[in-house]
Amino acid sequence: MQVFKTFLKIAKKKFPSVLLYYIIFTVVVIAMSKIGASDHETSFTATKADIYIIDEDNSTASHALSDYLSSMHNPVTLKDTDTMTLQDALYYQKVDYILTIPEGFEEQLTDSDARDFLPVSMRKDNSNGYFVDQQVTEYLSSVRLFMAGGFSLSEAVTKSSESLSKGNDTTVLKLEEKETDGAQIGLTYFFQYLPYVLINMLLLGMTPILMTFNQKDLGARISCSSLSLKSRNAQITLGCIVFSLFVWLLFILTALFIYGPDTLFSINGLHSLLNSAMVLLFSIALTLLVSTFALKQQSLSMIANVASLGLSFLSGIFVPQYLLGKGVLAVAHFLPTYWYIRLNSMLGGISDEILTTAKYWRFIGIQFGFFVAIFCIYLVSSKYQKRSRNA
Amino acid sequence: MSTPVVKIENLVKRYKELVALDHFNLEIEEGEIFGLLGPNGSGKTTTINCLLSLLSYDKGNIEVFGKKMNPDSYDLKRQIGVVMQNVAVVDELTVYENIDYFCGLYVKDKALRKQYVEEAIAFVGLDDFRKFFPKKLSGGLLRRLNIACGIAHKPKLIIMDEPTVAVDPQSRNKILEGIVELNRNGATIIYTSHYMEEVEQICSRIAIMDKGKNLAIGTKDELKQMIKKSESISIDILDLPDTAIDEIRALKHVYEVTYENHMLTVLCSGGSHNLIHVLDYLQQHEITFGKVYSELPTLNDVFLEITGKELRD
Repeated sequence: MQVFKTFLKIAKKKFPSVLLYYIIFTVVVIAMSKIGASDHETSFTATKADIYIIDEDNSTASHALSDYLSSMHNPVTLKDTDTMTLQDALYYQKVDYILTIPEGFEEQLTDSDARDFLPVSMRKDNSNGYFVDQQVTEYLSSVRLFMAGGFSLSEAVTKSSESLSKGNDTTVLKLEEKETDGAQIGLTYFFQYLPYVLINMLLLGMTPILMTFNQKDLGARISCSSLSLKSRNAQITLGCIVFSLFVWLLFILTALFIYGPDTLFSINGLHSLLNSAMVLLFSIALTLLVSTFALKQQSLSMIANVASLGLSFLSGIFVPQYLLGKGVLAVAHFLPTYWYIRLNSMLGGISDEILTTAKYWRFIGIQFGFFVAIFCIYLVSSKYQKRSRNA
Repeated sequence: MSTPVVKIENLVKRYKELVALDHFNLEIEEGEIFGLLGPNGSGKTTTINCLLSLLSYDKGNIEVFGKKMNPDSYDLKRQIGVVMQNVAVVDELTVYENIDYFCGLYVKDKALRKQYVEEAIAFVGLDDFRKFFPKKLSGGLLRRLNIACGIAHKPKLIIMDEPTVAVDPQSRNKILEGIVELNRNGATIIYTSHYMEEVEQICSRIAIMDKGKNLAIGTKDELKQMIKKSESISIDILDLPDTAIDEIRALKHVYEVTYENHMLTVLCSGGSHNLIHVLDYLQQHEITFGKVYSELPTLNDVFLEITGKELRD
């Protein structure tokens, strides 16, 4: 295991420089994921409008309408009923809707224009008032229909109240900001930025080690020894696996420390772990491929930047996929990180797409396919390089 | 007759149109320090690379210790030590770690390996530098490290491909002394160089190569006997009559006489008293002379006569 031990020795010496990337990236990722996690999710919750009813008719019909609306909304009491007080109440949003039931309302009820008979006051910029007004119209139409069907007034108002109230305790849906599960969202953002860090760390940390072993003179020197080519390759592969797993586990442990086991080992968390393992495989294959070319440190840094930033911007790591243009998205389909991010967004619930089991495994399969394809290119490239050396 | 350590028969290696090795033949016996001498591009490194199965070849046969050499002849490779032309060490490892790494490719036993590494460090004189990284070493020390990495596992056959390139004279002498000592300890050594002085100094047998061919092979004396020239006499003379040149040319064993820039040059073939004969002639004819030089033929003269060009071309 001489080659493997040497691989680890070199890795140990190279790792501090890569660790710096880890620290910087982790701080940034945590900060970003915390910002992301504190975002308020927009949702709708049930609420009731504040209403004030002036009943001048004092009839069965007016009482029924008052009772119906009171059951649906919050009837408020005002000190006075003069115009000034009512206008102040509307202006200061103490009430959303003021309904005046004039005298003779019951007699007018069967007429088709009964609705126009009811004077209403509400703010034009208040949607609650419009909603209540719509309910009043619905109620009156319902009563009229029941009466037209032969029901008495008292029966009609009762049935209308019952039918309109059935299963509809909530009368107004008010737009509201709601706190979501911060840890889960944070974990989603953590995994969203992971490819950028992984690709950088593996390319900058592992490629120099592989390039050392691939050096023409050093490679020839090892080929002269009694160590078989198979054993040498197996030991280098083992070194790659250990290095990559170490880097990946470092991130998983970081995620565990920040978000806790309940979030990381939840169903979504475990699915995200498998998803990130696919990115790890892709990063390994990419690193192996890059290592087949004799590069200088500067060129390697350039390639690492181009690969990580290019993939990040094209795949939606830094910019959400819904903001990307059609052309960019079309290109992104040919990048494994695009599928990774799409799946991660679905897992974290920050996407409009609905995640199904079949879709999950399809996306995982696509990423694995990319890994296999790049690994095959690496094998061909590696073989070509060896052949050209031995020619 | 014992089996040769290395036997190369009719080896042909082509790089597209260029024939790097042209029906090359070679036999190296156990205990030899065998020198492969030739100018740059003559095929020395190609021969070594084919011998080590680092390069495929078009035709021929290579045997090491009586067995055919293949890329997977690991039992043979275990007995071979290689010192490459270019220093091949791991920059991220210290001197000790590098020697331990390369020794570990052959020797699994940890205790034995530790002993071998210590011996190799002592052998090349890197004891004070064991914790140094290669980039901190001078060119000469780096070459010594390269040698230590190649010989630490105590191989029976050591192949050294121009190990003294770009090395200062002090380190070069140390390296050459080390090679002789390795040979005394029982190793057969193949030494390639384009420095004829080195080859002449340490090699028991020499093959002269050019354009992928083995032009001549033998001990240094055997090689020198192959050529016409046996002695070159140079004498500083202020004024030499033209008739004297013809008369000197007529002396026994003299085959060429030139007089340029007050310097008389007399080339002789064979004979052991040529200088005395020439000086006797000058005294008899009362020709005043100054400094006198007498040079025996070098391998460069051998190469010059065989190929018609200087070895350092």
